[in-house]
Amino acid sequence: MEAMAQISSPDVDQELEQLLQNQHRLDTPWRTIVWNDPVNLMSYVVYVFRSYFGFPEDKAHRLMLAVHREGKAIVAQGTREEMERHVQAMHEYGLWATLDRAEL
Amino acid sequence: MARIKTTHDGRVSAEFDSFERDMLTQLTSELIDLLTQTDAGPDAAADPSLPRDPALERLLPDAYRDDAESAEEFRRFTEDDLVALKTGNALALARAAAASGAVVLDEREVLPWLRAITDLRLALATRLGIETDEDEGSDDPELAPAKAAYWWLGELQERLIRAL
Repeated sequence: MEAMAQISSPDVDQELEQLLQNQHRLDTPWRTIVWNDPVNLMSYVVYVFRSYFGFPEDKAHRLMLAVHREGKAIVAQGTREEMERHVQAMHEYGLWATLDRAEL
Repeated sequence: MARIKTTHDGRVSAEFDSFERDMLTQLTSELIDLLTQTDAGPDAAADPSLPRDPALERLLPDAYRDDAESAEEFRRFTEDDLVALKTGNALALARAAAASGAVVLDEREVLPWLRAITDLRLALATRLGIETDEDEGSDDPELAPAKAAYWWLGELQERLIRAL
């Protein structure tokens, strides 16, 4: 660790940070979309967004309304693996969700 | 309507009358049949051309919309677990329906109920032809019990969420 600290410099750190950020961007253009369906109750959709994603009430409510009025809402973005986990979870709750790759 | 109350220690108490218990018993057993008859996982994944019950399509939807190959692969890895979870939820609700008197649940125990109720409503909605937000369900007299059950389950779910 000490040896590492010696060769580390702010410039290298910054470059490394930039590289990691680029890598992260490449890895994370996936998104989880929840689609409107005529069955699920508004209160239940809010409950799911709050309890699964941990969204505060107002955000959960806003996303639920977006699903209801616009037919769909993006509820999460990240890596493909993360989004697959979210979609699986939404299906466990009985919500209709898919994942896809966001336009870059 | 079922009596749903919040107990003094913050749990949820649910009590059904005998008509409601019979209805829940029948509906949950039909849902379990639907989920398990299929052998939904491996077989359907092996031969995706096999037509599936539309209710099952809604309970186990594609994870990818415009990518059949990824959707199939996702299904192959996840569907057995999803079917097992949904079956377990339906069983939890069925057990409660078999009990006489009030059933008391903590928040963790309410979750399988909420999910099972959702799955029951999704399956019923397919039978009733509910496809848009405006649809109220078929007026076919033969489907009247299913329609009554659909709306009753919605009210039950609403009350459970409120009681949480």
